[in-house]
Formats: sequence, C-alpha cells, structure tokens
Amino acid sequence: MSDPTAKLENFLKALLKSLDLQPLSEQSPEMYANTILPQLQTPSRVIINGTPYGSKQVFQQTWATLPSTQHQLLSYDAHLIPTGQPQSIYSILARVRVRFDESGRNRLGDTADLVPVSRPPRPLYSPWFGVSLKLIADEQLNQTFECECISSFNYRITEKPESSVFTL
Amino acid sequence: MFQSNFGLNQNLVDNRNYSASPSNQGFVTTNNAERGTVVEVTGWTNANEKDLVSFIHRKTKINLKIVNADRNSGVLTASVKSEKDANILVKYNGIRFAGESLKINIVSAIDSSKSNNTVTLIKNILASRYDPGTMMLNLDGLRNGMNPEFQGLFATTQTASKFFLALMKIASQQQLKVESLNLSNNDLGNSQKDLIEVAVSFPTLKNLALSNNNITKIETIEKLKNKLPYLRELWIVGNPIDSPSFSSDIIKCFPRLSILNGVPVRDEGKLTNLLSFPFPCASSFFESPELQSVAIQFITTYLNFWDNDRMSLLNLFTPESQFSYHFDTTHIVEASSASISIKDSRTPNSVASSWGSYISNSRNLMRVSGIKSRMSKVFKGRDPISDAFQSLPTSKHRLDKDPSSYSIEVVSVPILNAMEICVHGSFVETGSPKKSNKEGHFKNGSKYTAYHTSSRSQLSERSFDRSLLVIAGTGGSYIVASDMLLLKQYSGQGGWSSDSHRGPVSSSPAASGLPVAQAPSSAIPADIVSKLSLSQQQILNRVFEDTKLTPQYSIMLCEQSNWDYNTAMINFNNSRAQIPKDAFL
Repeated sequence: MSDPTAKLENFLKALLKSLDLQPLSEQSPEMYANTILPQLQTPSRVIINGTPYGSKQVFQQTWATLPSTQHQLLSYDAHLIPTGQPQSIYSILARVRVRFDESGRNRLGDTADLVPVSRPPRPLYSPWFGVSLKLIADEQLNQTFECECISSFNYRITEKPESSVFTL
Repeated sequence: MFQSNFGLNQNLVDNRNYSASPSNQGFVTTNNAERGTVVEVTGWTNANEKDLVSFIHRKTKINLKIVNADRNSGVLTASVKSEKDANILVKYNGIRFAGESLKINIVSAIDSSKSNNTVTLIKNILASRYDPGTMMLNLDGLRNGMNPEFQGLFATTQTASKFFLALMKIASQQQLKVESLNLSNNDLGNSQKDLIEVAVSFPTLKNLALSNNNITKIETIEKLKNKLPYLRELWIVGNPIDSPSFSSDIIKCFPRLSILNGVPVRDEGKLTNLLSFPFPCASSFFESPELQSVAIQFITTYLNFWDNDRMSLLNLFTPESQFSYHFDTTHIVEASSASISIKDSRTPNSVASSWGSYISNSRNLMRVSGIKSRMSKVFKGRDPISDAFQSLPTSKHRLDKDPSSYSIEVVSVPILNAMEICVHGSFVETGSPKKSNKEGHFKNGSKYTAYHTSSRSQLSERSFDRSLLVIAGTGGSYIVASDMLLLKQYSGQGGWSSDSHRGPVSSSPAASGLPVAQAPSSAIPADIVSKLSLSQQQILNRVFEDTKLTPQYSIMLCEQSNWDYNTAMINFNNSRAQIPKDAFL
C-alpha cells in the first residue's frame, strides 16, 4: 500500500511557488498571468477572501497586479475521498503565511512615483499574514503537477498584522 | 487642506494671545519662595556629571539638578534651588575641576510652582491647540508664542526637546486622535528623539509639518523610516535638508507619502492600489441562496452539538467518513491584549502544556511522515471517530452569539453531490477530554500513545479553520464525508473582521453579511429546536425553508410525516390547497 498523501507537500509548494513567481523580462503581462496557478480547472471555484472568481483568467490577471509575495507552507492535512468513479479527490486543508512587498512597486514593475525614486531591487516585505488554504484537487496530481486538477481553491487571510502598510 | 491649515504661521498671532488667556492665569502665579534658576556649565568633560555635582556640592553646599549633559557640545544644563544659589554659584566661575576651568552662567530663572505645573501647562496647550474636528494638533511656533514665564523651558535645544517629548507623551496618554501635526518653527534641530516620539505617540499620523526647524541631517528624517506608515503629506521647507538631492531619500522613508512640500510625489490612488490586496474581502461566501440556508443551519447545529452533545454527531458519519485534526504553533500575529486572559499572558507555555490533548493525533503532514503514522491519525468510521471526538477537550463556540467573529465559505462539490463548508473563527475550551488516548482501541500502533496519554493541555481559547464535506443523504438527512480541523494559537479577530461585508464581484449569487443573523431558519424558536434530535432539526429546517410554513405548522407537518422529508413534501403538496393562509409566513 502506498501513501496517498505522499506527493501533496510538493504539490502545495508548487502551487505557492506559482503564486510568488516573478514575471520574466521577455514575458508579456498576459503570458505571465497564465503561469499563475495553472493547475486551476476551467472553470473552477476560486474564492479569495470570500470573493468568488468564476473565471480562472480574471483571477490570474488580478493576482498578476499584486506586489511581490512570499508564501510559506506551515502545515496541512488531507483526506482522499472516493467519488464512486475511478478517480478520487483530495480535500486539503493547509495553513500558509504570506508577506507582501511594501516598497510601492508591483511585480510587473509599476509604481505610483511622480518623481524619480531610487529603490533597491529587493522587496521590502510586510510582516506575515496568516492564510487558510482549502483545496479540492483530483487524484490526477499524483501523475503530474502540470495539469488542471484543482476544482476548488479557497484562499482566506485569517490573520493580519497591525503594523503592516499593506492592507486588505 | 494641509496648506491652509499649516499656512504661513497664521497661528502665531493666536499663540501670542495664549498667555493672556484668562483660562491660563493660574500658570503665571509666582511664588518667590519656590523660585529656581537654570544654569549652564562648561569645562567639565574631563570627568563625569556625578563627579561635577559632588564637586560643586563640596565646594558650595549647593545641589545641582542636572537637566541635560551633552558631552559633544560640552554644555551641562542644570537647575539650582534659587536665584540666590545661582548667584553664589557664578562666583565660583573659573574654579579648576578635573584639570579644566569651569564656566558657569545663569541661563534663566524658573518658577518651581510653574515647573510643578508643567503637566497642567501642557494639557492646556493641547486643549487650546488641538482641533478634534480636523484631528489636528497645531504646535506651529509654540516656543515663540510661549508665555515669557515659561521661556526657560526653551532656553536650550535640550530643554525644548524634553518639553516636546513630554507634550507628545501627554497627548498620547490623553489618547488624542491626531491625524495632522504641525511642529513648524520650533527650532527642533536634529533631535531624533522628538521625531521618534512623534511616531510613537501618533503612529497613524497622515500629515506632518516640520518647516523651519533647522534640520540639517537627512539621518534625522531617516530615523522615521517605516515608523509613520500612513503619512501622506510632509512639509520640510525652510530646513537645510529641503533640497532636491534629498527628495528620493525622504520619499523612501514613508511608504504612503504622496505630497512633499505641497508637491505631489506619488499618485495617491495608484499607491493605494499598490499597497492593497486587490481582492475584495467579504466575511462569508455562499455559492447559492439554497446552499446558504442549508449550510448556515447545518454548521450552526453541528457546532452546537460539537459543544453540547458531541456524540450525537456520530449519526452523521458512515463507515467511509473521515475525521482528522492537526495543530500548528506558528505565531503570526498577536491577539489584542484585551482578549488574552491574565493566566495566558503570564504563563509561557511549552508545546506540551499548551497542546497536550492534541499532540498524539495531530495530523500535520508536514511533520508526520510514514504511511503507517499518517494513516493512523485519520479516523474512519463511527467508532474511531467517536474515540477521536472524546479525546478532544470540550468546547464552546460563539457562532450564534457573535457571528461576526466567524467567517464561512460554502461551495458545491458536484462530483460528490455535496457541499463544502469552510468555517474560520475561535472557540474556548471548557473542559478536559472525556477519554484519554489510550482507552479502547484508539490509536493502536501509535508510537506516541504511551508518552502522551497523561498529557492534557491547559484550557484556553483557540483559533481554528475547519472544513466539512457534507453529502445530502436520504430522507433529508446529511452525511459528513470529511471533517478536517486545524487548530491555531488564538489570534483575536480574524482577517475578515474589519470588512464591510461586500458582495461578490462576479455574477455568482453570493450572499453577504453575518451568517447566523440572516439565517431564515432562526425564526424557529430555540425552545422547540432544543427538544429535537439533530436529524429532526435538519428535516424541520428543510421543511421550514421549502414550504414557508410557520414553525408550528412545519413541526406539525414533520410529525405527521414521521420525520421523513420526502413524505413531508408529498403531504404538503397534496394538501396545499387546504392549508390555511395563516399557516404560511
């Protein structure tokens, strides 16, 4: 008997990595947006802080406007649920923390500057925010992470630091 | 707005009138017996201040009270009891001390009664110069407009600095809500203490004027870096650092600065977007109105039974149902001090003492490796789940009393014909587990069992995330296919607490607002609900929602249908024409 949860940690880390990915210099904003959470099914249930995004593309384009982020997986648990069909589904509950660049520049390089301001290339990260991540994903992820296997993605910021410049 | 408020010393005229105000007459009363004098001493830096005080006392029998000793400038400022003492002291001008000649000058006479009343003076300044309407504290030219009796407070940069520090602290103690602060024309110099105290006292300051204060070093401003996160407007005209070459460095110190010396330096709207999460925040989401009413009633009832009669929930579980929990001790944000019990705040707890009841079966897959261990911590079927339920402390949720402390998202899971309920919030532990982990057949094969059987954690408040996959069963009942619980250190109100319950941005028929308060089924009286079993409650709620009958008629229909939902609906449809109008809501 093999461990049905063996690949989930790497899977979750791959998802978080795609949320933090910086655009490459040769990528157009549209191309870059497509690299954000490509594992989402079309359509899928994407709920961010209680707001639903029926369109994968709208979610990706909105996420692409964020400043640089850094996610860390803290803990997770998962159940493999039989569906009565050949493929079962994973119900995954994870705790994540995230911080945001507060230097006044988003990941596409946009700023609000009206006068020249020199900035260090590195992000100036906010304090950590706590995130509850709830996923429903197809068992297919055990074959490859490069597939549209997430049918439900619920990202809820549950803890916000008082001292953060970045706001919800 | 700021320009008009902080205009060209328009308040100096008012300041000059300050000392003549009848309300301030009490401060100018002098008492000759209590007069004191400030002196300045130089030529002492070969020794320390205490040696100087001892030396002076030995030679003159006069006590020096040091106000400030600055080794860089070599100036020591002190007060003596009276003008007479000061005059005696001056006679010792030139006396040798530690290889140097002391130079002693009288700076000014002070009034000890006035000194005692400095706090009152500051409070009156705050009262006369704070405008609660605009939340502006205007200290423009304060030192110039000060009553002559108090000019001694500004005799040196050091004493002026101490005065401003005291003023900021008292303003902070009075909890003045200050969004705009004008400190122009006060000769603050490069006193970093003053500015840091400004940031400490008024961390939410939006507008700050420091014009004409002889600030020469950019480091003075840089000391405020990231300390005023909401500052949007800054004035530094008339200072040596008011130079284009410093603009970039100043702008970088304040992440929300949009206006420098009246000139826009950042697009404020764009900046707000860059520093805000672009996804609207709503405390709850329901995929459809139908799911809303069903899910709210379900989760409210589920948590109610979890707190009061946990074993009754087992009726919702089948041999295939799964339950597991885990905790994570990562500390992310502080709970507000008001929400932490005294006991909690005083006790630095170990993981064992804090989480003892949860340790042995916590299924954090980041830490639990190996298939045997992982599989042993997920409980499948009623008996293992029953044991797991009893191994956890009893608890009390406040979903019914304080729904805004909770957040909930509900979506359908078509492949299972189920709904997924995610709930976030907190609960209070009210009692120790009813069953230890070693009892019965619980946790067979777990290497942690023996070690942790006696471990019981201190009862406390916990934050949690919980996910339930709920399948519609036969006859209006439900089956819990999966129940996952994540426990965390209590962190106060959740990230959704300040939102305004915004609606969805897509076309999805999401509901907003407080989950329980809006539940239509809350119209069923609690005394009726409390007499029913869980499955009866579920059926009653569905009948109540679907028929729009009053609670009394809904119960009557359920009873006549032997508490079977399908039978109830058939009976309802068959006899609908005969049902009186007042039977409907």
